[in-house]
Amino acid sequence: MRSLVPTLEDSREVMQEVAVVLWRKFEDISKAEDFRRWAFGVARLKALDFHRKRGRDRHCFGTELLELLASEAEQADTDYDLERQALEECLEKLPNPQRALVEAAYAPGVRMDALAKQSGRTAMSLYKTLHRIRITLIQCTQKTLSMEGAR
Amino acid sequence: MNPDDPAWELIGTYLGGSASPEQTRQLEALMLNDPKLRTAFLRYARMDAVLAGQPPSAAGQPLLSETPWEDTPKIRSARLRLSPVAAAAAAGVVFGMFCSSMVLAYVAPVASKALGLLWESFETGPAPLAEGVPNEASRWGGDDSELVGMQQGVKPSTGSRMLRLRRPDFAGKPPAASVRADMYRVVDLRAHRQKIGHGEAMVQLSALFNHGVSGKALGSDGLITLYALPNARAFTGLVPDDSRLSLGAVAMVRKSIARLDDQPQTWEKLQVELRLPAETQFLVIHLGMKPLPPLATGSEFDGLYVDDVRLTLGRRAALP
Repeated sequence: MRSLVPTLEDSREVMQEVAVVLWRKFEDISKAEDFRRWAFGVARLKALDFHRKRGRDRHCFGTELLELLASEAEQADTDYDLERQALEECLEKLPNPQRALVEAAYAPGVRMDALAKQSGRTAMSLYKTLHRIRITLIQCTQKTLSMEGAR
Repeated sequence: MNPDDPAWELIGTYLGGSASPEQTRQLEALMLNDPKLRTAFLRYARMDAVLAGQPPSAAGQPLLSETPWEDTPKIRSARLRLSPVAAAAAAGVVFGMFCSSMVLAYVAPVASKALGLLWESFETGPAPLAEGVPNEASRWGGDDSELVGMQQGVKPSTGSRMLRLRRPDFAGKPPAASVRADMYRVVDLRAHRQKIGHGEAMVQLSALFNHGVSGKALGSDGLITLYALPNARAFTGLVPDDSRLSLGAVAMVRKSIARLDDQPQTWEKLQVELRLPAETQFLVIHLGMKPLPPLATGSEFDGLYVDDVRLTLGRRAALP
């Protein structure tokens, strides 16, 4: 969902709708793979519905790319548990100030401009720093996963 | 993809919600023609979603013992054993499900730490149901309440919203001697049956309470209860008489503050722990507050607030 909806807040809103549908129905589906496919389908429909309601917002991707992303996310052979665990390990490896910044930036309801002011930076500088940390985390996660795979 | 590739910056800007229409079109054109860039985008989005859903307990504040679960399957083989619920959780990384207030978020399998089941700061979820004990695990419900921002000198403990307990009843509730506002949330533990079956599982529940300065009441109390229930029948259909929860419970724990302090700047914390009987399938969280001295039955309350509810599953061996 995060890849199909442009902001975190929007993805949370849409995800609430998805979660309600999944929760009502999941006991009716016995096979894990069926559930996964169905869950992806619900999420895709809800995301497209979000874009439809919003009209052709020029800040969002078009339907062709959204469909492509949804399809590739569904088909990807990614072990999400492993990836999440690797990310947690990488978070722990971050220097304390960087980790604290990530935690502060992702705390519910936090405003980036307020956080920037609090940390004595400009909002732009904060965005850039966070972006660099995220790239570090992605690289580290991928490295950790490839080392796991080599074992 | 090279970390210095400028496309990363476009991805970060887009997912940060600050891309201009021109930047959006530029990234879109690049991604339509580059499968590797789409893979990078999906990785970035997944990471963003996971980070946004990390409760603080998973980021260095474990609330209970960190003794590893001996019965936890090896992570590498976990996918082969996914239950539908676990599959949903796994898929949830992509979907961004790991939000603190989402019911499917808490089934994410974390192998060796205390597991954050719920971290509710009332920032993103829907308004609570005013229908008594909710019959679904994704919602808060109970007496009449609302989500509010700072008011009456009380600032939300976390984020910008908190829960205001508005009345000791809800539309359709039979008139009774209810003088306290009660809120509930059901937590489904069936995905953790293996952990609970060994009898060493503990849950820890905490919540913050506060009351405002200009309300009708001079003060208020605060109360939390945690019920361990063996089946869904123990909490469904309890609209008229939620006290039946204790009759259907296999274990419960309660703690209260007789009178909160008069400082709206400070939140007061209530915390309980409960060892879960092996047959536990559901938990029901109960939060309650009433003004002091109690108001007449049916009166609307003023300035009673709850925030930052946390529930953690961990392990602790029984005393010898």
